[in-house]
Amino acid sequence: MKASVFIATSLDGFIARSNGALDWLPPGGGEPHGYDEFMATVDALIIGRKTFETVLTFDAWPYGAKPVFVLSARTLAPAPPGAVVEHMSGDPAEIVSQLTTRGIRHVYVDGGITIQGFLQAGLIQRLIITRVPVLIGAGIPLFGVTDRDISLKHIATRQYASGLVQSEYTVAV
Amino acid sequence: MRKVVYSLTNSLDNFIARADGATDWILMGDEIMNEFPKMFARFDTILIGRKTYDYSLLHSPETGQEMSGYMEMKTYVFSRTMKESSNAGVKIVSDNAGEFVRNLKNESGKDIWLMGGGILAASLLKERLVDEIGVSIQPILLGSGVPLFPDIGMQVELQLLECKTYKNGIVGLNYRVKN
Repeated sequence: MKASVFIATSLDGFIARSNGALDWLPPGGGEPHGYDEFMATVDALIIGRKTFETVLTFDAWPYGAKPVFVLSARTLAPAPPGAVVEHMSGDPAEIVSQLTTRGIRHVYVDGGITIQGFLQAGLIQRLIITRVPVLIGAGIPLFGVTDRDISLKHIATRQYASGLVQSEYTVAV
Repeated sequence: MRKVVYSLTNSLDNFIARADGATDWILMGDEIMNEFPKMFARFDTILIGRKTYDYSLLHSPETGQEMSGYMEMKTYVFSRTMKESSNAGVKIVSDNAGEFVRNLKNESGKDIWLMGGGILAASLLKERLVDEIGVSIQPILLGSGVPLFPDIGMQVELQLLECKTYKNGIVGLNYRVKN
């Protein structure tokens, strides 16, 4: 199973304010920058509890009928009607092995702690990072502490009229 | 008015050095090296914090001696503890960094290269004295180290000026700070 990250960060590397707020992002996610095209390539999502709770505050459930696996050691809030949500727990290697067995070939990993855990475990193959032209000073960082250097291969960088810059990397093995 | 440009190379996770100051992970390559003369021609002055200065090329780690006039730029080291340098090209600024830089910007001369570290950059950003930010993003995650942007305690809006990619995977971005 292949795992990808598709995420926006401030230039100073944050994916949300400390309280999870995304008010610094351009309204409506900004100009189109490949999210729909990316989503069309994934079979499922893996997100953490905090991301799940943030998404629950959105006006509409953004993932349609795509399966969403929420990692949490605790009980989850109920998912909205129509959402396909499954509660899982375990370390990243266990999750990957379970989803592989279930025939999932490409998964979208989202949320700071979840991304960090999968990266540290060497289970992310591709990173697509969209930089928003702002410094927010503090918040939830995209990347966390790792016990080693993680070398990347730069695949492409795209620039958008509003100042978004999207870089795509694969994780070198 | 002269512009202050915070321009550095950093890892994808926004570190400018390992925790011990090491920069062994930085790729350069001919493509970037060939651009240096053009990139640096706009500057005649360097601002640098003491810790970064200690690790930097401006200073020889073996002898502790300052290297004379890095690319013939006037260098200001921000430190409360350092004594005056014997090198005529190096001056110590021991307090009121903001006021010092504000005055410097009003003097005549070329633009001013803020080489970091993050602490000095954060204090000057906070005082709205930084005009541009340039990052050269290296294709690596270090996991820990000296941060490029310590918490500046406020939001700063930017405008993308330039986006460039290099064959060895470095992404160079330049932004104007909307002060």
